[in-house]
Amino acid sequence: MPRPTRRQALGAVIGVAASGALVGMAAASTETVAAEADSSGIAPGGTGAPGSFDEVFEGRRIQGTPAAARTDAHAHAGHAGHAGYRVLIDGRELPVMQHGKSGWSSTINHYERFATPLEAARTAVISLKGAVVVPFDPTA
Amino acid sequence: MTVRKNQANLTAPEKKAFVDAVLEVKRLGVYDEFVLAHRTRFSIDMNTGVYVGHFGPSFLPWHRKFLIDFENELQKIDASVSIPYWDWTADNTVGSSLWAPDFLGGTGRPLDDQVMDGPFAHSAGKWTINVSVDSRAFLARQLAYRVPSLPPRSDVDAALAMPTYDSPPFRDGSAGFRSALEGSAGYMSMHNRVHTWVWGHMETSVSPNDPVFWLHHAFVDKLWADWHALHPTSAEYLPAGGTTDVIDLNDTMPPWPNTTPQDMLDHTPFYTYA
Repeated sequence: MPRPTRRQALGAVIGVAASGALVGMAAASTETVAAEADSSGIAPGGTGAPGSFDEVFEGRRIQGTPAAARTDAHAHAGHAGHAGYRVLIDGRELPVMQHGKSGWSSTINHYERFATPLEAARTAVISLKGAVVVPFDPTA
Repeated sequence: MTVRKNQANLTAPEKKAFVDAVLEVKRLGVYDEFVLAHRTRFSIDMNTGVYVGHFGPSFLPWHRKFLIDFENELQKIDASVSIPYWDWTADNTVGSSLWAPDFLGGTGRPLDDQVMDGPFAHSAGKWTINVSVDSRAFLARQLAYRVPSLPPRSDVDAALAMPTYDSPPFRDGSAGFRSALEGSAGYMSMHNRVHTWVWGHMETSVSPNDPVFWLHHAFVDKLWADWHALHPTSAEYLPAGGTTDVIDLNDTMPPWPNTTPQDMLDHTPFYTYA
């Protein structure tokens, strides 16, 4: 494996910053109940262009906006590859990706597919149990 | 010669040797390079749509090379160690000895999914998550939480019976053995379902943070070898060439500069399965 020492150093810095934020986030989270998982073996279908959402789900604010509606105030140079749709959990970006007709996934739930970014965001909240998403360089 | 064994058959000293080697590779900082390589591959694949590590035919040779490299690192610490495989069709409960405190430790606590026992518990002091996508510094699991069961042997046998390795368009949902085994012909199945069943870090793009990743993928790799033995006249890998945005048989697989699927077809120079 190539040795990414600079990235490891960066990750360590981000980890320290994030653990400070975790204290507040854990208090805001509520009890989580596992979503009923689809074991039918049918991959969710593509949904074309999903719209925006902004809601509080299990104590976490989740927001989603198509790339055309995003404000550049939130743009990170390092996340240019996620420009198709932007999801935030408590103001922090959850990278999501669309895979043709098979649906959406996120870095938190990479082995599943979701019909919409909203479903991906809600499942990430269930997964995190109060932890916060942390930005990273996708090309490290 | 490296022989990979079923984890259920390991002796107590064999389990300890494996765990100790993993902890030492972690202490040296090398383990996190593997986690980072996996995260980066996933991210680049998913943002470019050129699926090298997952959701395409090179899923199997890419992970074969990934495991060979990791096994080499373990063997620098202890030459007697190999990666055990976890047959999740047989050892398919939360009570399996795989999850005992003398091996990988058990499921996480309800509060935050934190693994609390065994050598990889954060409280044991040797397993901090450094390469991640979220703020969890501890190893997280919640076994059988998202999906109640692991894939049954009948699903594995159905995949093994398929005579074709992969087929156009060579991505998730393609017909053939690779997609069936990976689980991308029906999400929540097979390889993908096992990641989801373990939950916590195994569900994320930094899944190698959980050492069970290696045991899971050793079994997936064994099934590829088993499939080839069952279908000796089938093409061992497809596509053979000329396919845009897909790793062909003789294309190199990033991040390795010189490794092709062809190089990975015969595993026996590297290890065998017992």
